Formats: sequence, structure tokens, C-alpha cells
Amino acid sequence: MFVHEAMYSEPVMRDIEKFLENSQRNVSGKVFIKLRPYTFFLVGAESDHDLMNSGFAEYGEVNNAWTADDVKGFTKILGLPLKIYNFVNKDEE
Amino acid sequence: MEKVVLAYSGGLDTSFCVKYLQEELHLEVYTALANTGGFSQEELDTVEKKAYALGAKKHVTLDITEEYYDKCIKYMVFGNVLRNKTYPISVSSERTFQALAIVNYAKEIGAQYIAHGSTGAGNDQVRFDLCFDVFAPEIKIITPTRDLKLSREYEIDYLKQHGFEADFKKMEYSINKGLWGTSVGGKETLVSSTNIPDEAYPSQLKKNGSEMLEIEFRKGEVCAVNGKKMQKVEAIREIERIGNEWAIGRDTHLGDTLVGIKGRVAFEAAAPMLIIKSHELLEKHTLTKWQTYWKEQLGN
Repeated sequence: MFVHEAMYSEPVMRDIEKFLENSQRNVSGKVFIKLRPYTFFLVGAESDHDLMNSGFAEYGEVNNAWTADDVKGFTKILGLPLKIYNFVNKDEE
Repeated sequence: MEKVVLAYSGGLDTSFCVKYLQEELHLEVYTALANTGGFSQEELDTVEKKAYALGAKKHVTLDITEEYYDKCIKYMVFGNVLRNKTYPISVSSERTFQALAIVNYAKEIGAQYIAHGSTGAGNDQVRFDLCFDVFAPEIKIITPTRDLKLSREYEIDYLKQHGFEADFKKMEYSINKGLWGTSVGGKETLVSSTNIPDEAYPSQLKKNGSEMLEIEFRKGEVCAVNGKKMQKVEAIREIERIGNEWAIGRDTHLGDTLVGIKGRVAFEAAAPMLIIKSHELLEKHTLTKWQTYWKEQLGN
């Protein structure tokens, strides 16, 4: 960062500061830390803006946000550019 | 008699400068300590006494701690800034603000010269010089330690010859204590394979087992520690106090200096590590993938 390299007064720093400030609008909440000799462990966090609390889909569990068919179609389209590349360049090593 | 403002920290290099500027260059020395939060009141008093004992005409403490937080530290937390993924830019970030405070003071008292104790080895010289040059081009800069290519041994001897003795053993390690971390440089960090001994770190382990710490943030800034409302400099100091008892935050920074070579320095930064890592975790919970992506690009 510019600060380390004496460029604090460079105008772009003022732009970056605004960007960073804006990015923080939802970064509110509590973080729980376990302190040990010479080190620490991040136990977890709690926040009103926690995107983990989507309300309808939980990682690893059965959910209501999409069906199996939705995922199959999505995966097919996601892989398509790679299939096209491999087809066109099948003579590549 | 011409005036010189010397950025004085109470350390070996700058103590040498106080004597040198008087004895060899016959200047009136005005020492100024720009405090970015790294000194206790007791330490500030000791530095003042030292300055006068060394013959300074006048000594002032310029307290810029809050400004340093608002204009610098705050953004370093927002950006999870760790230089080379390791170093919370302790010393280096302070330099610009210290330099600005020194320049303003020098203009205030009409000094013809500004002196600082930077060596030719690292980045500080560039940070100070650049700042002085940009904001006070009419004031001349003097850097004895750098220009004379002095070794620590030479400086210690020179001071002894001019009637000034101090606890030289402590000065064996170049310690720069700051609000956002303390750097420790010594013979072990001049080479690649060794590191400073445990005792050289300012904070020693005092506790055993484990303990919980809760840090609360509001829009990216700390707003409470262990349930007690506190923010800015006060919060940093409290987290540092807690973290220091566990000797948290010790690491080594290896960087590419502005002057072309690689350099190493050991450091201790309990509050920065605790705050940055917990802030990062909170962001993982609250930001989208693309927000995180672009923030990372800028934080570098």
C-alpha cells in the first residue's frame, strides 16, 4: 500500500479511502476469540448482517432455494465454455 | 545562531544527533518527539530529560495519536492491511504523520534545518525526506547517521566522549514502539537464518491456559471490547494490553525496501493481529465474494 511507500499524499489514496469506507457499511457484529500462549483462535462471529443466515439455504443441508434439476442445468451451462475450448483445441497437448 | 529541528525519539541514533548537531555543526537544537501513541507519559518524560541532558535548547512532544488513528489505522483495519501478508505496517505508517508534524513545527519556529536520525539502510529516510521535501522544500535536511555511515558502536563511543552515558544494553536492539505494533531490529535480523531471542521482545508471556476475548465492530471499527464500549485509540490499547499478556503477535517481516534491497525486522503486534484477523472474519460473514475480491486488490 502507498502508505508504506511514503505516498500517503498521493491523491489516489483519498479515492481508496472512500472505497474502503463504503465497503464497511455492513461490517458490524461481534467476533469471539480464544487467547492462548503466543497465539489465538477465531471461534466465531455474530452479526445482524451475517450472510450465513440466508433463511432458506444452509451449506451441506437439504434446502428450499433450488431443486436438483436447477443444479443440473446450472452445472451444464457452467461447464460449456470449457467443453467448447477442449473441442476446438483437441489437438493441443 | 541557526536553528535545527531534530526528530528525537530518545534512541541511540537521535541522541547521537543532538550532540553532533551542536558540537560539530554549531546549531541550536530544538528536539521534537512526534508521538503516534507509542510512548507512555513516563517514557515521554524520560525522553524530555534526555534531550535537555544532551544539550537541546528546547524539547516538545507533538501528540498526533488520534489523528494517526483517524487518518491511517482506521483504513488499515478496513483494508486488512498486512504487508507481504505478515506485517501490519507498524513503524512505516507512523513515519509520514510524524514527518508532517515535524515539518509544521519547524515552520512554526522558523527553523532553517530539519534533522532526522535515519540510517542509509532502510525506508524511513525516504519517507522523511520525501515528506520534508514536498511540504517544506525551503528547509534543508541534515542526516548525520546516514551521511557519516555510522555504526552503533561509534555512536555509543562518541556520546561517552561527550559526557553522556545511558543504558547501552537496551540500545542493543533497535526498538520502535508504536500504537500499531513494535518493531525490533538487531544483529540476528541482519542475516536470514537467525532471529531475535525471546527476551528481546517488549512483551513477555504472563498467562497460561486460555481466555476468551470478544471484539465488537460497528461499520468496520472496533466499538466494544469484552462487552465494554470503547473505540479508536482506547480500544487498541486495551486489546494490546490483553494480547501482550499472552505474548501474541510476534513475527518477522521480510520486505523489499524502497532503496532496492530486501530487509528483515522482527515485530510484536498483538492488537493489530487480533483486530485485523477478527475484522477479516466478520467480513467473510458480511461481504459478498466480489466485494472481498476488490478489497483485496486495493489492500495490497
